[in-house]
Amino acid sequence: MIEFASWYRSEYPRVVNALTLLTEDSHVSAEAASEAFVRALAKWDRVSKMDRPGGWLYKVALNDARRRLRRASRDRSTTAELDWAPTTAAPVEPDHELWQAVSRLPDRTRSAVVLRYVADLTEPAIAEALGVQRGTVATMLRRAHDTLAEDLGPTYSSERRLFHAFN
Amino acid sequence: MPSTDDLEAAGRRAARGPVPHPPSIDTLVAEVDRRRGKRRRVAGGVAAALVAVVVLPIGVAMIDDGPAEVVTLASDDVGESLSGEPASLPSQNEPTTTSAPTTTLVSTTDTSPATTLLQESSEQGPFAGLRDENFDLQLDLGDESFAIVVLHGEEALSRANDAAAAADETREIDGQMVWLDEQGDDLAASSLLEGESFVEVTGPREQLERMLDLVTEYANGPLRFFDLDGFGEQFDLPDGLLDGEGLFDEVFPFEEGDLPFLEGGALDDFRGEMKDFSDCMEITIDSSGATTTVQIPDCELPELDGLFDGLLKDFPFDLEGLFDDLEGAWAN
Repeated sequence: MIEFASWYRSEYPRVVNALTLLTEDSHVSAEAASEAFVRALAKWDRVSKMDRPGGWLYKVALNDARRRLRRASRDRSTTAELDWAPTTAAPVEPDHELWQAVSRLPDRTRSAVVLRYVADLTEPAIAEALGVQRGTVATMLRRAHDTLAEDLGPTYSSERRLFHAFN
Repeated sequence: MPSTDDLEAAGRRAARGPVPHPPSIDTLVAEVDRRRGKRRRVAGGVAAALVAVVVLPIGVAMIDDGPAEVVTLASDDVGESLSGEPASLPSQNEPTTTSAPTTTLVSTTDTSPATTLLQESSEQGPFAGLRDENFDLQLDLGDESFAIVVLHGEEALSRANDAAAAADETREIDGQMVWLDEQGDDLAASSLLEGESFVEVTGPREQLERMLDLVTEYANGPLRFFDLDGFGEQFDLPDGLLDGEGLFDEVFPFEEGDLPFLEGGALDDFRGEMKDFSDCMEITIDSSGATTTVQIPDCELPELDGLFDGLLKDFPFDLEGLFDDLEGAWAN
């Protein structure tokens, strides 16, 4: 059984950053992450014994983030004059180009990529978080690779190696 | 083209990116405690509503039909009504047929768990006993007890005069005068209904205040979720415990085999949560003595605002607003 405090401390930044890549709103992401951890703590007896607590956590966090964005959208529609804009915290160089390409993927595929590579979830955990079959996750990730390759072009990796050589 | 290594490296860097200072563990613990307290209060409030619209009429109907053995309403039965079956709870407003046999809400001879809630309609409505029978009912809700007395005729007028004289506070609810009499930690709320029926409910002050607040709120209009007719209607059974048939039809469309809102394995989690709720509905009624005793076990409601996590996608109903209303009504 994992211990809540250490799990929380190690996972919180990862959850916030993963959500930020998906929502482009760091405030919503931080709030949704906190909400997910509060719920995890409230049900810790159950969550700690899950095979994939990370899948559960992201499921709760994603739903909460979605809800907050919907609510914000409703509020904006009634107070359009406020000129509201979300706080965006997309990663900067050296990965800006890559994440820009990821952001152009279809919603669910983008979620799968972020959960796989930022949240570091396994495919079964991603399936749980997104409420889809495991095979669907594998397919989405494969297609994501293909789309990113097409979008970023054949020189992407060599450019990146060059970037790292000078940074 | 990006390799898997590129993605993994970028992912690791993104995961380590700066984030706002996370809430402390103590803050999380405090928030969990706060929510648990609120849920208990909500559960208490819902139990009070159950008293008004479910248990009381059942008890009255039992008295109306004569002495009965202990009867348990199985949670499975209640679960049925929660999960989209037509609610078994009738209304006096429903059309009645004059040729129908007498109604029994609860079979007084059947001690099996599979109790029939409603069999047929009645000439006078299923809760006619509420209007013409005196009764004395005790409700045990977990550790708390309520005593409900209903009197008619001369006795009612006499008790009403006593209650009016002894009242610490008088409140008008839905056009009905209600006398409040503090009795230590308990509160007695009483009223003379239609000039001839005296109703008195005595119970823990906090719970009873909440119950009165609910009815007052309802009388003022905003709490339409509970379709209660209010104290002034002498606990007439409304059109359903909750204005929930439509809601549950939308949320729990299990019977139709069509689960458009459900995703993945979340259904099992959801059923687990709902089990907590059905535990709240294990009601035992004992009317073998002079006072009918109704017991509802102490329990916690599921975490309402998290109940639907993972289940609903693009669900149009404003559940949050609904729960905000409910919790706001009970919590303070």
